[in-house]
Amino acid sequence: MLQVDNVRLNFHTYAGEVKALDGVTFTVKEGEALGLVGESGCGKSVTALAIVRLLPENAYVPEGRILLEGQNLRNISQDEMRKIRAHKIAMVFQDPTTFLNPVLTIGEQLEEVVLLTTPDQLTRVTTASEQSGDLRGGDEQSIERREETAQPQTSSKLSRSARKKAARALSVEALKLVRLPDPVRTLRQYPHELSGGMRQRCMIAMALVRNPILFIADEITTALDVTVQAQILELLRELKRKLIGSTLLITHDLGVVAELCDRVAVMYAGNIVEIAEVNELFAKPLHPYTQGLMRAVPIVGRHLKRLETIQGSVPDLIHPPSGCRFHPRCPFAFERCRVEKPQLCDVGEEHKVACHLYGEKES
Amino acid sequence: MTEKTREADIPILISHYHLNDPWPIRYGVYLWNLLTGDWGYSRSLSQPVLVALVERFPATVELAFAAALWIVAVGIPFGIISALKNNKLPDHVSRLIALTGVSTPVFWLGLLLILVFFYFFRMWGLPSLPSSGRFDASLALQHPVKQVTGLLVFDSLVTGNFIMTEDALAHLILPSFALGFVDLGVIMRIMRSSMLEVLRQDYITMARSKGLSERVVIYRHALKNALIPTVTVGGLAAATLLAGAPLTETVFAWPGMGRLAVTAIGTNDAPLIMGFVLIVALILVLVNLTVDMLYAFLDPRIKY
Amino acid sequence: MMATRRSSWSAVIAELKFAGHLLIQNRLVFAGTIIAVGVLLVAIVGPVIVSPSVATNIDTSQRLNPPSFQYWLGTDDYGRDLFKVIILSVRLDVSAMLEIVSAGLFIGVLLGAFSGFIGGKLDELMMRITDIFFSIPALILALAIAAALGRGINNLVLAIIVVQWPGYTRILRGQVLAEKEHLYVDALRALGIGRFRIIIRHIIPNTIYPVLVQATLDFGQVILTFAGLSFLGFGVSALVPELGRLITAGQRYIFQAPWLIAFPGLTILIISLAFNLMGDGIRDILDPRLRR
Repeated sequence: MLQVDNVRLNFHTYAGEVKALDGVTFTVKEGEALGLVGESGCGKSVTALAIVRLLPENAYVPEGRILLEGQNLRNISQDEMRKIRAHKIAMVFQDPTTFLNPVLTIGEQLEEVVLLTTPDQLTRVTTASEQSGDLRGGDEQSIERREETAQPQTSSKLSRSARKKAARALSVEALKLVRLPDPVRTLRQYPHELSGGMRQRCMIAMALVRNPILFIADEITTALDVTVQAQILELLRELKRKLIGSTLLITHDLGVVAELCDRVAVMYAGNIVEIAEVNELFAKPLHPYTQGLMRAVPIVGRHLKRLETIQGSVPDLIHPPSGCRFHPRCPFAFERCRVEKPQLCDVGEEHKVACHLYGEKES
Repeated sequence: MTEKTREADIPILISHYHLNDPWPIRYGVYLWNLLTGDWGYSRSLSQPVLVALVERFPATVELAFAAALWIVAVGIPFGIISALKNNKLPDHVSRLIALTGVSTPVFWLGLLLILVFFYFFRMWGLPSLPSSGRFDASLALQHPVKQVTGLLVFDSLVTGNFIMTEDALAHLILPSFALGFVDLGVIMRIMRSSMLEVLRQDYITMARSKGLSERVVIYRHALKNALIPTVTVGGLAAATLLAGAPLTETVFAWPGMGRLAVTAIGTNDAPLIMGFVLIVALILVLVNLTVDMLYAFLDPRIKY
Repeated sequence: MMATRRSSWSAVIAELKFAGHLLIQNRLVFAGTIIAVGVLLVAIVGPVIVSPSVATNIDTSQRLNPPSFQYWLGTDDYGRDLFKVIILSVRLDVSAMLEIVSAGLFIGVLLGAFSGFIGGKLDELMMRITDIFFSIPALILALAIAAALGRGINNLVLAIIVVQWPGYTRILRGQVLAEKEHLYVDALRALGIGRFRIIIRHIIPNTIYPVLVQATLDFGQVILTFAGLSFLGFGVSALVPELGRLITAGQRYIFQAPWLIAFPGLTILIISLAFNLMGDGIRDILDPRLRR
């Protein structure tokens, strides 16, 4: 449903051209959750920004297509892209502190999203919220409100104040969905008055209320502490089916991947080096980098003298290594690795690797 | 004391003004007098200083206010445009205006404005603007303005005296522009730089990712944040406006406190000059207080 | 932890030389610097190429001539060649500007350094005093002081100096407060070096950059204040060539002889603009160095 096809991306900088993405290719199928894993700086966030076309000014894409439901997002106009952002793709970012506007209330920031959505999307929000069985605020008023919004009324035919009221009600529903304890009060609050976890939930609410076909989560748990992380993941797992079409989950944490994803793509220095189903990847990591990642995760209970690392450090993307970008750090590297860049090949059931150690078939 | 002071009066003057008392007492008396409204007596005007200042206070306020209006109405929008069209023509123009504004002697600007808009325009048959005073005296006699606040434009508007409104406005345009020009560029540049700073922020990316139109992103999300540093500079600009008042009022024969102070210098009227300095300090304190309150209004993170 | 800091006075001078090199790069700043240097040259050389007697050479037959080939900028009320008079007046205005800023700098830096370093009641007192100065706009305070001191150019210069120094004191004090926490200060005191010497030879050179930057930015504003107050009647007396006063004199003939106002004012603008540009350039160059 989302197809990223051989996307290359460069940044103009004073120091030189940063070749951030070097032919990134992957797909996200309908209804599935794809994890995009990799170290900091490997290009995961950049890929996400490229999909929604919110790259900084000095970035440009010399090659590649990004197809959403068959439509190439790189070719459409600014206006059409905007509509897609409003209705089809929702993105949640890493740091809820800097990504929320400090001078606007949560309500204002949430309602503006609601007001952009179509009635169709909203019905799904309200039914989902009813289904999630949230009767904590189960007094007469809230039930009434829910019935009112069951017939979503944000079409432009209605008066402005009616629209705003409906938007307000829907915002409350959305906040209930993300399990915020006092939604009505939260709407009136400013971001700095909430905790990190609450802010992140608000951002997720802003994404959910659009009922997107693609939900992109860019390291959404990284800025939170571990217990809150767990709660957010739990929340996402619940809501995954109901309100989100497909998910692109970007993270550097393999644990998160294991929890939430159906398939995983491993990224290194601007390349996808391995894609597989979750269980398959954990059971049989093929690419040396993936293997390194797996080994690097310490297992609780096992006594270790030293933490495992992958030797070397992330390459300079202005002057990237020739051939396979991983070869300077790869314990199995041989001559060909230095010369020729490996392409993604099928090596099994839904398992692709980009490494000269495996398979000759092009995928 | 002047040559006219009589011998016999001297002891009275000495005791009244506490001239023989040690200076702490004199200072104490001075402060007490200030608080109770006795700001001294102006010999040149034969009026108490406070009365003289208060009479001319509305004129200066009107002038400063109008200058501030120029700054806000022109400076802020142009600042935004400069930020949006960064490094293109509007940006360079605003930089030029800012630099020139800060380097221009305000009294010279006033004189030039008079030269062009009063004299040359008239010569060339174009509608011209008046060059001195707040209003046309003969016209005022025919359409007297009822005093409500002392602000001519406001008073005449509110009492339906539209002929005088037009006249007062016409008289206000040139001096207020001259006074405001200096800070116009400064505000423009601050608005530009803070807008650019804000547009780089993460929450703007977030706003765009929601699919909001660019216009909404700029005016709803960016602007409020960008105004905060601008308001700081605005508060400082108030000081500049007051400082320029004596010069501008002199050039345009504007009957305000600034001109009063200047003429007071000529007649060596010390209490009047001191009173003027004091009232300026007071006004600035008030302005800064207002700016602080404005902060709390703009930035919800600040609470008092 | 570093026990020694880089700067001494010679280092400061070396840095300034380097800054001078960088000034050449930005075009607008370069233009401003060139003009500023030109202005300084005119100030120095002025009385040599244009005889000072021009100022007092009243020739009523040549009154109020418009600009022409003979009199490039026209003549004034006294029949003097305006161009020559302006050249002469540049010297006066520029030297006043330089005097005011240097004196203000000198006083401000010393007061700020001692106040910040010694701290305690002295510092508190200094802060309150500077607060008073900050609560009133410069021109108005200078006006009041000049009025109290009386007429004459020295009084005017003095009045503006009094208004200038608090700004520098504040800046320097702030820097000194941070600087005196550095370990080398304790090291020097342990060696038995007196506070006075520490302040003069070590503290001040390390903290003086922001103040120097501010001073160069102030040139433009100071000359405007000076000309403005001259315009109002302070400072020099009638015939002495000074830009602000020329405008005052020219006011009477604003419509008949607009050049009398236009050109002196333009000169003020050019001088102020040039020094502002140069000051901006210096600030941009020295700014990264301020974050030490």
